Amino acid sequence: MPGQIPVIKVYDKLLVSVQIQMSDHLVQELKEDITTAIEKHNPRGLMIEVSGVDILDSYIARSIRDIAQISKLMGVSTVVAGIDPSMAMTLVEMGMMLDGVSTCLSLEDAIDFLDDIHSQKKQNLEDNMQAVLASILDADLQDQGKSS
Amino acid sequence: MTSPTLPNLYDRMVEILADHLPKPIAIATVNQALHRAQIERQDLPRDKLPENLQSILRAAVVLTLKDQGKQQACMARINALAQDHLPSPAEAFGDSEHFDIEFESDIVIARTRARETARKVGFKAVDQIKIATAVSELARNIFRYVGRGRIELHVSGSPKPGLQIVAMDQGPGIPHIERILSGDFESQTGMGMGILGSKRLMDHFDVITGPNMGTRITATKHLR
Repeated sequence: MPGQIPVIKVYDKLLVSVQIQMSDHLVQELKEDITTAIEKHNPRGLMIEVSGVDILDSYIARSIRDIAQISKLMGVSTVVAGIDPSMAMTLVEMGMMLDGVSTCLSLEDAIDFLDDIHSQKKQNLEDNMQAVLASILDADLQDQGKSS
Repeated sequence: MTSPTLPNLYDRMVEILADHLPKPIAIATVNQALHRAQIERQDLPRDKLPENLQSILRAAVVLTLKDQGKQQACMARINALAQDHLPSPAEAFGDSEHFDIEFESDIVIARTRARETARKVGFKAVDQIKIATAVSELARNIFRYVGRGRIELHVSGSPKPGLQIVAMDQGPGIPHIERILSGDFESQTGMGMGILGSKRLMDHFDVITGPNMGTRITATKHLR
């Protein structure tokens, strides 16, 4: 049963826009909803938009970091958008860094960012394939050299 | 927290006009403006003048006051009413409120009210967030580790104006409190982070805790 914060599929990405005050059980619910949605839709990226959140305290911030790590384990990149200046200053002063979480100022930036990551991944994959092909070819050539 | 001393918007509009006009005419003008703006007197917001009412009042001022200097003085005060109203800290001094923390939803209630109070006292947006965040951390610690307790907010006037948060419970006390506050201890559950974080967000932070005495945390933020 999905919770109060909708997890929306937009083409090949998932969008979560938090527009209500986050109580602890809502955060927990969201964590579960996101993992279910990732399994169901197999997205290329996850965007969490937090401009409507009242505050980001240590629990909420840590939960967002957890969500990003869980998604990463499932092969999905996460980007958090919409952290306003007051929230950013508060997080830094608390010493609560969102380590390992990519952040963007706006949702548009987040979309571009995820697309960039994806094309980068694709490029890396192609590069790897080429490298593997090249090494196989090399080995073949050496074999031929030995046999002749 | 209510401020009964704060005059409502209607009275303040009348007061501004009555400085330059006979009072009955000032009242009639405000009533007429409300009528034109199609706003009932009881529906007036408490602290911020609606935009359409502002422009009607400005027009009324131009029509009724012939003197340019008076017009401008009057306009400036009407415009000020349309800004977000922040009462001076003095109006809220001595006020205090408290929240029992017993259910998870009490955490959200406490931090929302704390932010609202901080706004009323006159804290800047970033400090409002810091105060709300600190309250959230302290309330959550009570809920998670003790189960029930209480958060108090005091608006203090001396030595410096500010807001004081008191978080208290009758729980088992916080072990390793010195190490937590010095920053070289982080629990698996993240409790250290909450206390240390709220200490860093506030100007003064004081913890009294022990196995048989519960915990009392006093945290203060000064108005800058």
